[in-house]
Amino acid sequence: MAAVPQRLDETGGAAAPAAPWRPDVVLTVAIGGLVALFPVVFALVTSFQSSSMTGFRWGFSLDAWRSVFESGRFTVVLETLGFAALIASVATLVSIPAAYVLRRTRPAVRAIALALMTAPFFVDLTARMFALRVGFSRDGAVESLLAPLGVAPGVVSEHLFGPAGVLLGLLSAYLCTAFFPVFIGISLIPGDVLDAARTLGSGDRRTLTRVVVPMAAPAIGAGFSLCFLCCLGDIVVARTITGEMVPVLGTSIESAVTAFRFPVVGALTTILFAAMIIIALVVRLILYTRRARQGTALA
Amino acid sequence: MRAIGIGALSLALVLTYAPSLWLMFLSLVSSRVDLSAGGFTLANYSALFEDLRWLPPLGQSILIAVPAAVAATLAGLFAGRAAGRHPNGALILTICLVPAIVPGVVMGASLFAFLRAVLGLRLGAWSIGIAQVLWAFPFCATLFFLRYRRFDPAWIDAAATLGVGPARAFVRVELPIVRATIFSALLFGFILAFTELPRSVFLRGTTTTLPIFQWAQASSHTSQAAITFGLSSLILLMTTAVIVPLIFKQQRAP
Repeated sequence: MAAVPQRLDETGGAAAPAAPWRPDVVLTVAIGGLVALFPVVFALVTSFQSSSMTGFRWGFSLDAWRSVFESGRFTVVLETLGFAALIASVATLVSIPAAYVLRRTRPAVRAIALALMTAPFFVDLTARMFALRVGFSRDGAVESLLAPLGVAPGVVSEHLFGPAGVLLGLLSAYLCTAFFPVFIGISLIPGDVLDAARTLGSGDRRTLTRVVVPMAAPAIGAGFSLCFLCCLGDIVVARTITGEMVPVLGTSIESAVTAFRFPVVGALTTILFAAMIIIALVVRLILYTRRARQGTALA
Repeated sequence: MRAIGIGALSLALVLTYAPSLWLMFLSLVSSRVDLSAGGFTLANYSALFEDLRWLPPLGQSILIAVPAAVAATLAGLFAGRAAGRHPNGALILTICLVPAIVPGVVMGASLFAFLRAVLGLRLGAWSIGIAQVLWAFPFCATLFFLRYRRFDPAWIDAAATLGVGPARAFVRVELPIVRATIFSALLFGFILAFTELPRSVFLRGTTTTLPIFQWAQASSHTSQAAITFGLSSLILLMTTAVIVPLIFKQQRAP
Protein backbone atom coordinates (compact mmCIF):
# COMPACT_ATOMS: atom_id res chain seq x y z
CA MET A 1 0.00 0.00 0.00
CA ALA A 2 1.37 3.45 -0.87
CA ALA A 3 2.34 5.71 2.00
CA VAL A 4 -0.23 8.35 2.76
CA PRO A 5 1.21 11.86 3.27
CA GLN A 6 1.09 12.83 6.93
CA ARG A 7 -0.43 16.01 8.32
CA LEU A 8 1.33 17.19 11.44
CA ASP A 9 0.54 20.06 13.80
CA GLU A 10 3.18 22.29 15.40
CA THR A 11 3.73 19.82 18.27
CA GLY A 12 4.47 16.99 15.91
CA GLY A 13 1.14 15.34 16.73
CA ALA A 14 -1.55 14.48 14.25
CA ALA A 15 -3.30 17.52 12.83
CA ALA A 16 -6.45 18.60 14.59
CA PRO A 17 -9.74 18.28 12.76
CA ALA A 18 -11.58 21.39 11.70
CA ALA A 19 -14.24 21.28 14.46
CA PRO A 20 -12.47 20.83 17.82
CA TRP A 21 -15.70 20.66 19.87
CA ARG A 22 -17.00 17.44 18.36
CA PRO A 23 -19.58 15.44 20.35
CA ASP A 24 -16.99 12.89 21.53
CA VAL A 25 -14.80 15.68 22.92
CA VAL A 26 -17.74 17.35 24.66
CA LEU A 27 -18.85 14.03 26.17
CA THR A 28 -15.32 13.17 27.33
CA VAL A 29 -14.87 16.57 28.97
CA ALA A 30 -18.35 16.45 30.54
CA ILE A 31 -18.06 12.94 32.00
CA GLY A 32 -14.37 13.34 32.87
CA GLY A 33 -15.10 16.65 34.59
CA LEU A 34 -18.01 15.14 36.51
CA VAL A 35 -15.89 12.23 37.75
CA ALA A 36 -13.04 14.61 38.59
CA LEU A 37 -15.22 17.07 40.48
CA PHE A 38 -17.47 14.55 42.21
CA PRO A 39 -15.21 13.61 45.17
CA VAL A 40 -14.19 17.24 45.77
CA VAL A 41 -17.71 18.71 45.73
CA PHE A 42 -19.22 15.75 47.57
CA ALA A 43 -16.59 15.92 50.34
CA LEU A 44 -17.02 19.67 50.77
CA VAL A 45 -20.83 19.50 50.88
CA THR A 46 -21.04 16.51 53.22
CA SER A 47 -18.43 17.91 55.62
CA PHE A 48 -21.00 20.56 56.64
CA GLN A 49 -23.74 18.00 57.41
CA SER A 50 -24.26 16.00 60.58
CA SER A 51 -24.33 12.23 60.98
CA SER A 52 -27.40 10.07 61.43
CA MET A 53 -27.67 6.32 62.02
CA THR A 54 -27.92 5.63 58.30
CA GLY A 55 -25.97 8.46 56.74
CA PHE A 56 -26.56 12.20 56.79
CA ARG A 57 -28.90 14.63 58.50
CA TRP A 58 -29.07 17.34 55.85
CA GLY A 59 -28.66 20.96 56.93
CA PHE A 60 -25.64 22.94 58.05
CA SER A 61 -23.39 21.84 60.84
CA LEU A 62 -19.78 22.31 61.89
CA ASP A 63 -19.82 19.17 64.07
CA ALA A 64 -17.63 17.19 61.70
CA TRP A 65 -14.97 19.89 61.55
CA ARG A 66 -15.09 20.29 65.34
CA SER A 67 -14.71 16.53 65.69
CA VAL A 68 -11.71 16.44 63.36
CA PHE A 69 -9.86 19.06 65.40
CA GLU A 70 -10.93 17.80 68.85
CA SER A 71 -10.57 14.04 68.38
CA GLY A 72 -6.92 13.96 67.41
CA ARG A 73 -7.66 13.18 63.78
CA PHE A 74 -6.05 16.46 62.73
CA THR A 75 -2.81 15.35 64.37
CA VAL A 76 -3.01 12.19 62.27
CA VAL A 77 -3.48 14.36 59.17
CA LEU A 78 -0.37 16.40 60.01
CA GLU A 79 1.69 13.29 60.72
CA THR A 80 0.58 11.71 57.44
CA LEU A 81 1.50 14.90 55.58
CA GLY A 82 4.94 14.71 57.20
CA PHE A 83 5.37 11.05 56.21
CA ALA A 84 4.27 11.76 52.66
CA ALA A 85 6.53 14.82 52.25
CA LEU A 86 9.55 12.94 53.63
CA ILE A 87 9.03 9.87 51.44
CA ALA A 88 8.32 11.94 48.32
CA SER A 89 11.52 13.96 48.92
CA VAL A 90 13.69 10.86 49.43
CA ALA A 91 12.12 9.06 46.46
CA THR A 92 12.69 12.08 44.20
CA LEU A 93 16.30 12.50 45.36
CA VAL A 94 17.01 8.81 44.67
CA SER A 95 15.20 8.94 41.32
CA ILE A 96 17.18 11.87 39.83
CA PRO A 97 20.67 10.27 39.71
CA ALA A 98 19.14 6.84 38.99
CA ALA A 99 17.18 8.17 36.00
CA TYR A 100 20.19 10.15 34.74
CA VAL A 101 22.41 7.08 34.76
CA LEU A 102 19.67 4.96 33.20
CA ARG A 103 19.26 7.47 30.36
CA ARG A 104 22.91 7.04 29.45
CA THR A 105 23.02 3.23 29.56
CA ARG A 106 22.66 0.85 26.61
CA PRO A 107 19.07 0.49 25.33
CA ALA A 108 18.84 -3.18 26.35
CA VAL A 109 19.91 -2.46 29.95
CA ARG A 110 17.54 0.50 30.03
CA ALA A 111 14.63 -1.62 28.78
CA ILE A 112 15.24 -4.31 31.41
CA ALA A 113 15.57 -1.78 34.25
CA LEU A 114 12.41 0.06 33.17
CA ALA A 115 10.45 -3.18 32.85
CA LEU A 116 11.60 -4.16 36.33
CA MET A 117 10.56 -0.78 37.74
CA THR A 118 7.14 -1.07 36.10
CA ALA A 119 6.17 -4.56 37.26
CA PRO A 120 5.52 -3.62 40.94
CA PHE A 121 2.66 -1.36 39.79
CA PHE A 122 0.75 -4.54 39.02
CA VAL A 123 1.60 -6.64 42.07
CA ASP A 124 -0.64 -6.82 45.12
CA LEU A 125 0.69 -4.31 47.66
CA THR A 126 -0.82 -6.09 50.67
CA ALA A 127 1.18 -9.26 50.04
CA ARG A 128 4.42 -7.31 49.65
CA MET A 129 3.82 -5.36 52.85
CA PHE A 130 2.82 -8.53 54.67
CA ALA A 131 6.18 -10.02 53.71
CA LEU A 132 7.90 -6.90 55.09
CA ARG A 133 6.00 -7.31 58.34
CA VAL A 134 7.28 -10.85 58.70
CA GLY A 135 10.81 -9.65 57.94
CA PHE A 136 10.51 -6.91 60.58
CA SER A 137 9.22 -9.24 63.32
CA ARG A 138 11.18 -10.20 66.43
CA ASP A 139 13.82 -12.77 65.36
CA GLY A 140 12.80 -12.08 61.74
CA ALA A 141 15.15 -11.49 58.81
CA VAL A 142 16.21 -7.96 59.79
CA GLU A 143 17.09 -8.95 63.36
CA SER A 144 18.80 -12.14 62.16
CA LEU A 145 21.00 -10.06 59.86
CA LEU A 146 21.82 -7.58 62.64
CA ALA A 147 22.40 -10.19 65.37
CA PRO A 148 26.09 -10.77 64.46
CA LEU A 149 26.63 -7.03 64.95
CA GLY A 150 25.54 -7.41 68.57
CA VAL A 151 22.05 -5.91 68.22
CA ALA A 152 19.86 -7.39 70.97
CA PRO A 153 16.62 -9.16 69.90
CA GLY A 154 13.59 -6.89 69.89
CA VAL A 155 15.50 -3.60 69.73
CA VAL A 156 15.12 -3.08 65.98
CA SER A 157 11.73 -4.75 65.58
CA GLU A 158 10.31 -2.37 68.19
CA HIS A 159 11.07 0.54 65.81
CA LEU A 160 10.14 -1.31 62.65
CA PHE A 161 6.63 -1.87 63.98
CA GLY A 162 6.35 1.90 64.42
CA PRO A 163 6.79 4.97 62.20
CA ALA A 164 10.20 3.76 60.93
CA GLY A 165 8.60 0.63 59.50
CA VAL A 166 5.83 2.68 57.89
CA LEU A 167 8.39 4.97 56.27
CA LEU A 168 10.38 2.01 54.91
CA GLY A 169 7.17 0.41 53.64
CA LEU A 170 5.99 3.62 51.96
CA LEU A 171 9.37 4.12 50.29
CA SER A 172 9.38 0.54 49.03
CA ALA A 173 5.81 0.78 47.78
CA TYR A 174 5.84 4.19 46.11
CA LEU A 175 9.41 4.95 45.05
CA CYS A 176 8.58 3.86 41.51
CA THR A 177 5.77 6.47 41.29
CA ALA A 178 8.40 9.22 41.63
CA PHE A 179 10.92 7.48 39.41
CA PHE A 180 8.86 7.28 36.21
CA PRO A 181 7.95 10.96 35.72
CA VAL A 182 11.56 11.89 36.59
CA PHE A 183 12.94 9.37 34.10
CA ILE A 184 10.57 10.52 31.33
CA GLY A 185 11.52 14.15 31.96
CA ILE A 186 15.25 13.41 31.88
CA SER A 187 15.02 11.15 28.83
CA LEU A 188 13.22 13.92 26.89
CA ILE A 189 16.19 16.29 27.20
CA PRO A 190 17.82 16.38 23.74
CA GLY A 191 21.12 14.53 23.57
CA ASP A 192 22.67 17.55 21.80
CA VAL A 193 22.21 19.66 24.94
CA LEU A 194 24.07 17.13 27.09
CA ASP A 195 26.78 16.78 24.43
CA ALA A 196 27.14 20.57 24.31
CA ALA A 197 27.54 20.71 28.10
CA ARG A 198 30.20 18.01 27.94
CA THR A 199 32.00 19.72 25.05
CA LEU A 200 32.13 22.92 27.09
CA GLY A 201 33.95 21.05 29.84
CA SER A 202 31.07 20.35 32.18
CA GLY A 203 31.54 17.20 34.26
CA ASP A 204 28.77 14.74 35.11
CA ARG A 205 27.90 16.34 38.43
CA ARG A 206 27.78 19.86 36.96
CA THR A 207 25.76 18.68 33.94
CA LEU A 208 23.27 17.03 36.27
CA THR A 209 22.84 20.00 38.59
CA ARG A 210 23.10 22.84 36.03
CA VAL A 211 21.51 21.31 32.93
CA VAL A 212 19.52 18.15 33.64
CA VAL A 213 17.73 19.16 36.84
CA PRO A 214 16.62 22.63 35.60
CA MET A 215 15.42 21.20 32.27
CA ALA A 216 13.59 18.28 33.88
CA ALA A 217 12.22 20.42 36.74
CA PRO A 218 8.52 20.05 35.72
CA ALA A 219 8.89 16.25 35.56
CA ILE A 220 10.74 16.19 38.88
CA GLY A 221 7.88 18.23 40.38
CA ALA A 222 5.37 15.79 38.90
CA GLY A 223 7.28 12.81 40.33
CA PHE A 224 7.38 14.40 43.77
CA SER A 225 3.65 15.25 43.63
CA LEU A 226 2.61 11.79 42.45
CA CYS A 227 4.62 10.01 45.14
CA PHE A 228 3.31 12.47 47.74
CA LEU A 229 -0.29 11.80 46.71
CA CYS A 230 0.16 8.02 46.76
CA CYS A 231 1.66 8.15 50.27
CA LEU A 232 -1.05 10.51 51.45
CA GLY A 233 -3.93 8.23 50.46
CA ASP A 234 -2.37 4.91 51.41
CA ILE A 235 -4.33 2.52 53.62
CA VAL A 236 -2.35 -0.65 53.06
CA VAL A 237 1.21 0.04 54.24
CA ALA A 238 0.67 1.35 57.78
CA ARG A 239 -2.10 -1.07 58.56
CA THR A 240 -0.40 -4.18 57.20
CA ILE A 241 2.99 -3.47 58.77
CA THR A 242 1.94 -2.10 62.16
CA GLY A 243 -1.69 -3.11 62.56
CA GLU A 244 -3.39 -0.09 64.13
CA MET A 245 -0.26 1.11 65.93
CA VAL A 246 0.54 3.96 63.52
CA PRO A 247 -2.67 5.69 62.43
CA VAL A 248 -2.51 7.51 59.10
CA LEU A 249 -5.02 9.58 57.15
CA GLY A 250 -6.22 6.61 55.08
CA THR A 251 -6.96 4.42 58.09
CA SER A 252 -8.57 7.39 59.83
CA ILE A 253 -10.95 7.84 56.88
CA GLU A 254 -11.61 4.11 56.85
CA SER A 255 -12.46 4.03 60.56
CA ALA A 256 -14.82 6.99 60.10
CA VAL A 257 -16.58 5.16 57.24
CA THR A 258 -16.89 2.00 59.36
CA ALA A 259 -18.48 4.10 62.12
CA PHE A 260 -20.87 5.69 59.57
CA ARG A 261 -19.44 9.14 60.38
CA PHE A 262 -19.65 10.35 56.79
CA PRO A 263 -19.41 14.09 57.52
CA VAL A 264 -16.08 13.42 59.26
CA VAL A 265 -15.00 11.54 56.13
CA GLY A 266 -16.04 14.62 54.12
CA ALA A 267 -14.01 16.93 56.38
CA LEU A 268 -10.91 14.70 56.25
CA THR A 269 -11.21 14.40 52.49
CA THR A 270 -11.57 18.17 52.12
CA ILE A 271 -8.38 18.65 54.16
CA LEU A 272 -6.66 16.10 51.92
CA PHE A 273 -7.76 17.92 48.76
CA ALA A 274 -6.65 21.23 50.25
CA ALA A 275 -3.23 19.70 50.97
CA MET A 276 -3.05 18.35 47.41
CA ILE A 277 -3.91 21.75 45.93
CA ILE A 278 -1.41 23.56 48.18
CA ILE A 279 1.35 21.11 47.21
CA ALA A 280 0.51 21.52 43.50
CA LEU A 281 0.59 25.32 43.87
CA VAL A 282 3.88 25.26 45.76
CA VAL A 283 5.47 23.03 43.09
CA ARG A 284 4.18 25.35 40.36
CA LEU A 285 5.39 28.42 42.23
CA ILE A 286 8.88 26.94 42.61
CA LEU A 287 8.98 26.09 38.89
CA TYR A 288 7.64 29.53 37.93
CA THR A 289 10.16 31.34 40.14
CA ARG A 290 13.01 29.24 38.72
CA ARG A 291 11.90 29.98 35.15
CA ALA A 292 11.51 33.70 35.86
CA ARG A 293 15.01 33.78 37.40
CA GLN A 294 16.42 32.02 34.34
CA GLY A 295 14.61 34.50 32.09
CA THR A 296 16.10 37.42 34.02
CA ALA A 297 19.58 35.92 33.82
CA LEU A 298 19.27 35.50 30.05
CA ALA A 299 18.01 39.05 29.64
CA MET B 1 28.67 10.70 39.62
CA ARG B 2 28.18 7.46 37.70
CA ALA B 3 28.79 5.50 40.91
CA ILE B 4 26.16 7.59 42.72
CA GLY B 5 23.70 7.00 39.89
CA ILE B 6 24.28 3.26 39.80
CA GLY B 7 24.01 3.18 43.60
CA ALA B 8 20.70 5.11 43.48
CA LEU B 9 19.32 2.83 40.75
CA SER B 10 20.37 -0.26 42.70
CA LEU B 11 18.80 1.17 45.86
CA ALA B 12 15.56 1.85 43.98
CA LEU B 13 15.45 -1.69 42.60
CA VAL B 14 16.33 -3.26 45.96
CA LEU B 15 13.72 -1.21 47.82
CA THR B 16 11.11 -2.03 45.19
CA TYR B 17 11.86 -5.73 44.89
CA ALA B 18 13.05 -6.71 48.38
CA PRO B 19 9.52 -7.34 49.71
CA SER B 20 8.54 -9.36 46.63
CA LEU B 21 11.68 -11.53 46.68
CA TRP B 22 11.37 -11.95 50.43
CA LEU B 23 7.76 -13.03 49.91
CA MET B 24 8.85 -15.72 47.47
CA PHE B 25 11.58 -16.85 49.83
CA LEU B 26 9.07 -17.14 52.68
CA SER B 27 6.81 -19.26 50.50
CA LEU B 28 9.65 -21.78 50.17
CA VAL B 29 10.70 -22.16 53.82
CA SER B 30 9.02 -24.26 56.48
CA SER B 31 9.23 -21.72 59.32
CA ARG B 32 8.79 -18.02 58.81
CA VAL B 33 10.21 -17.26 62.28
CA ASP B 34 13.22 -19.53 62.45
CA LEU B 35 14.63 -19.50 58.94
CA SER B 36 17.38 -21.97 59.78
CA ALA B 37 14.87 -24.65 60.79
CA GLY B 38 13.64 -27.13 58.24
CA GLY B 39 15.26 -25.69 55.10
CA PHE B 40 13.42 -25.28 51.81
CA THR B 41 10.10 -26.98 51.20
CA LEU B 42 7.09 -26.90 48.91
CA ALA B 43 4.78 -27.59 51.85
CA ASN B 44 3.27 -24.10 51.64
CA TYR B 45 2.27 -24.70 48.03
CA SER B 46 0.73 -28.13 48.73
CA ALA B 47 -1.15 -26.56 51.68
CA LEU B 48 -2.37 -23.86 49.30
CA PHE B 49 -4.02 -26.48 47.13
CA GLU B 50 -5.52 -28.28 50.14
CA ASP B 51 -7.06 -25.17 51.70
CA LEU B 52 -9.03 -23.71 48.83
CA ARG B 53 -10.66 -20.76 50.63
CA TRP B 54 -8.89 -18.43 48.18
CA LEU B 55 -10.61 -19.97 45.17
CA PRO B 56 -14.04 -18.19 45.42
CA PRO B 57 -12.38 -14.74 45.83
CA LEU B 58 -10.14 -15.53 42.85
CA GLY B 59 -13.18 -16.47 40.75
CA GLN B 60 -14.98 -13.33 41.92
CA SER B 61 -11.96 -11.19 41.02
CA ILE B 62 -11.81 -12.60 37.50
CA LEU B 63 -15.58 -12.24 37.04
CA ILE B 64 -15.42 -8.56 37.97
CA ALA B 65 -12.06 -7.63 36.44
CA VAL B 66 -12.80 -8.97 32.93
CA PRO B 67 -15.86 -6.78 32.23
CA ALA B 68 -14.19 -3.90 34.09
CA ALA B 69 -11.15 -4.16 31.79
CA VAL B 70 -13.39 -4.26 28.72
CA ALA B 71 -15.37 -1.23 29.94
CA ALA B 72 -12.20 0.70 30.82
CA THR B 73 -10.74 -0.11 27.39
CA LEU B 74 -13.86 1.04 25.55
CA ALA B 75 -14.10 4.22 27.62
CA GLY B 76 -10.34 4.74 27.21
CA LEU B 77 -10.63 4.30 23.43
CA PHE B 78 -13.44 6.85 23.30
CA ALA B 79 -11.70 9.41 25.52
CA GLY B 80 -8.17 8.80 24.20
CA ARG B 81 -9.38 9.09 20.62
CA ALA B 82 -11.18 12.34 21.38
CA ALA B 83 -8.21 13.82 23.24
CA GLY B 84 -5.56 12.48 20.87
CA ARG B 85 -7.15 14.22 17.86
CA HIS B 86 -7.86 17.51 19.65
CA PRO B 87 -5.55 20.58 19.69
CA ASN B 88 -6.01 20.84 23.49
CA GLY B 89 -5.74 17.09 23.90
CA ALA B 90 -3.27 17.26 26.80
CA LEU B 91 -5.79 19.29 28.83
CA ILE B 92 -8.61 16.85 28.04
CA LEU B 93 -6.35 13.95 29.05
CA THR B 94 -5.50 15.71 32.32
CA ILE B 95 -9.20 15.79 33.17
CA CYS B 96 -9.39 12.05 32.43
CA LEU B 97 -6.37 11.41 34.66
CA VAL B 98 -7.96 12.88 37.79
CA PRO B 99 -9.48 9.55 38.98
CA ALA B 100 -5.96 8.13 39.05
CA ILE B 101 -4.59 11.12 40.95
CA VAL B 102 -7.34 11.23 43.59
CA PRO B 103 -6.21 8.83 46.36
CA GLY B 104 -8.08 5.52 46.18
CA VAL B 105 -9.24 5.76 49.76
CA VAL B 106 -10.88 9.14 49.03
CA MET B 107 -12.58 7.96 45.85
CA GLY B 108 -13.73 4.78 47.59
CA ALA B 109 -15.04 6.56 50.67
CA SER B 110 -16.81 9.24 48.58
CA LEU B 111 -18.47 6.66 46.34
CA PHE B 112 -19.47 4.57 49.36
CA ALA B 113 -21.05 7.55 51.10
CA PHE B 114 -22.85 8.57 47.91
CA LEU B 115 -24.07 5.15 46.78
CA ARG B 116 -24.86 3.70 50.21
CA ALA B 117 -25.71 6.63 52.47
CA VAL B 118 -27.28 9.01 49.93
CA LEU B 119 -28.83 6.67 47.35
CA GLY B 120 -29.33 3.72 49.74
CA LEU B 121 -28.09 1.16 47.19
CA ARG B 122 -26.90 -2.31 48.15
CA LEU B 123 -23.23 -2.59 47.25
CA GLY B 124 -21.53 -5.63 45.77
CA ALA B 125 -19.79 -6.84 42.64
CA TRP B 126 -21.27 -4.03 40.52
CA SER B 127 -19.89 -1.26 42.76
CA ILE B 128 -16.47 -2.95 42.88
CA GLY B 129 -16.67 -3.04 39.08
CA ILE B 130 -17.28 0.71 38.97
CA ALA B 131 -14.29 1.26 41.25
CA GLN B 132 -12.10 -0.90 39.04
CA VAL B 133 -13.20 0.90 35.87
CA LEU B 134 -12.46 4.27 37.50
CA TRP B 135 -8.98 3.05 38.42
CA ALA B 136 -8.12 1.42 35.09
CA PHE B 137 -9.73 4.01 32.79
CA PRO B 138 -7.08 6.79 33.08
CA PHE B 139 -4.31 4.37 32.14
CA CYS B 140 -6.26 3.01 29.15
CA ALA B 141 -7.12 6.56 28.04
CA THR B 142 -3.44 7.51 28.21
CA LEU B 143 -2.45 4.55 26.02
CA PHE B 144 -5.03 5.51 23.38
CA PHE B 145 -4.15 9.20 23.65
CA LEU B 146 -0.50 8.44 22.87
CA ARG B 147 -1.53 6.17 19.99
CA TYR B 148 -3.91 8.71 18.44
CA ARG B 149 -1.30 11.48 18.72
CA ARG B 150 0.71 9.42 16.22
CA PHE B 151 -2.35 8.43 14.18
CA ASP B 152 -2.22 9.79 10.66
CA PRO B 153 -5.66 11.27 9.82
CA ALA B 154 -4.79 11.00 6.15
CA TRP B 155 -5.84 7.34 6.36
CA ILE B 156 -9.37 8.43 7.28
CA ASP B 157 -9.30 11.12 4.57
CA ALA B 158 -8.27 8.44 2.08
CA ALA B 159 -11.11 6.16 3.20
CA ALA B 160 -13.60 9.06 2.90
CA THR B 161 -12.30 9.88 -0.60
CA LEU B 162 -13.00 6.30 -1.55
CA GLY B 163 -16.60 6.70 -0.37
CA VAL B 164 -16.32 4.86 2.97
CA GLY B 165 -18.61 6.24 5.72
CA PRO B 166 -17.26 7.27 9.18
CA ALA B 167 -18.57 4.15 10.98
CA ARG B 168 -17.16 1.77 8.38
CA ALA B 169 -13.87 3.69 8.29
CA PHE B 170 -13.64 3.40 12.08
CA VAL B 171 -14.18 -0.37 12.02
CA ARG B 172 -12.19 -1.21 8.88
CA VAL B 173 -9.39 1.37 9.03
CA GLU B 174 -8.93 2.78 12.54
CA LEU B 175 -9.46 -0.30 14.68
CA PRO B 176 -6.95 -2.48 12.81
CA ILE B 177 -4.36 0.31 13.11
CA VAL B 178 -4.86 0.66 16.89
CA ARG B 179 -5.29 -3.10 17.48
CA ALA B 180 -2.03 -3.44 19.44
CA THR B 181 -3.06 -0.58 21.73
CA ILE B 182 -6.44 -2.22 22.32
CA PHE B 183 -4.65 -5.41 23.37
CA SER B 184 -2.31 -3.49 25.70
CA ALA B 185 -5.22 -1.56 27.22
CA LEU B 186 -7.16 -4.77 27.84
CA LEU B 187 -4.16 -6.40 29.50
CA PHE B 188 -3.20 -3.40 31.63
CA GLY B 189 -6.86 -2.77 32.44
CA PHE B 190 -7.34 -6.35 33.59
CA ILE B 191 -4.24 -6.40 35.78
CA LEU B 192 -5.04 -3.02 37.30
CA ALA B 193 -8.64 -4.08 37.96
CA PHE B 194 -7.59 -7.48 39.29
CA THR B 195 -5.19 -5.97 41.87
CA GLU B 196 -7.33 -2.94 42.83
CA LEU B 197 -7.84 -2.63 46.60
CA PRO B 198 -8.33 0.83 48.19
CA ARG B 199 -11.60 1.55 46.39
CA SER B 200 -12.91 -2.02 46.54
CA VAL B 201 -12.49 -2.14 50.33
CA PHE B 202 -15.21 0.50 50.68
CA LEU B 203 -17.46 -0.64 47.85
CA ARG B 204 -17.42 -4.41 48.40
CA GLY B 205 -20.70 -4.87 50.25
CA THR B 206 -20.47 -8.58 51.04
CA THR B 207 -18.41 -9.45 47.96
CA THR B 208 -14.82 -10.56 48.46
CA THR B 209 -12.23 -10.26 45.71
CA LEU B 210 -8.76 -11.76 45.96
CA PRO B 211 -7.00 -8.51 47.05
CA ILE B 212 -9.71 -7.98 49.69
CA PHE B 213 -9.27 -11.58 50.85
CA GLN B 214 -5.50 -11.16 51.15
CA TRP B 215 -5.92 -7.79 52.82
CA ALA B 216 -8.31 -9.28 55.38
CA GLN B 217 -5.87 -12.13 55.98
CA ALA B 218 -2.98 -9.74 56.50
CA SER B 219 -5.04 -7.38 58.68
CA SER B 220 -6.42 -10.09 60.96
CA HIS B 221 -2.94 -11.06 62.24
CA THR B 222 -4.03 -14.72 62.11
CA SER B 223 -2.89 -15.07 58.51
CA GLN B 224 -1.91 -18.43 57.22
CA ALA B 225 1.49 -18.31 55.54
CA ALA B 226 0.51 -21.11 53.20
CA ILE B 227 -2.25 -19.06 51.62
CA THR B 228 -0.75 -15.59 51.71
CA PHE B 229 2.84 -16.30 50.70
CA GLY B 230 2.22 -19.13 48.25
CA LEU B 231 -0.68 -17.44 46.50
CA SER B 232 0.99 -14.03 46.33
CA SER B 233 4.18 -15.56 44.96
CA LEU B 234 2.27 -17.34 42.22
CA ILE B 235 0.38 -14.17 41.27
CA LEU B 236 3.59 -12.14 41.35
CA LEU B 237 5.39 -14.60 39.08
CA MET B 238 2.50 -14.75 36.62
CA THR B 239 2.08 -10.96 36.53
CA THR B 240 5.80 -10.34 36.09
CA ALA B 241 6.03 -13.01 33.40
CA VAL B 242 3.32 -11.22 31.41
CA ILE B 243 4.21 -7.59 32.07
CA VAL B 244 8.02 -7.53 31.90
CA PRO B 245 8.36 -8.98 28.35
CA LEU B 246 5.55 -6.68 27.16
CA ILE B 247 7.21 -3.55 28.51
CA PHE B 248 10.64 -4.78 27.38
CA LYS B 249 9.25 -5.22 23.86
CA GLN B 250 7.68 -1.74 23.89
CA GLN B 251 10.93 -0.16 25.13
CA ARG B 252 12.93 -1.88 22.39
CA ALA B 253 10.45 -0.92 19.66
CA PRO B 254 11.91 1.65 17.23
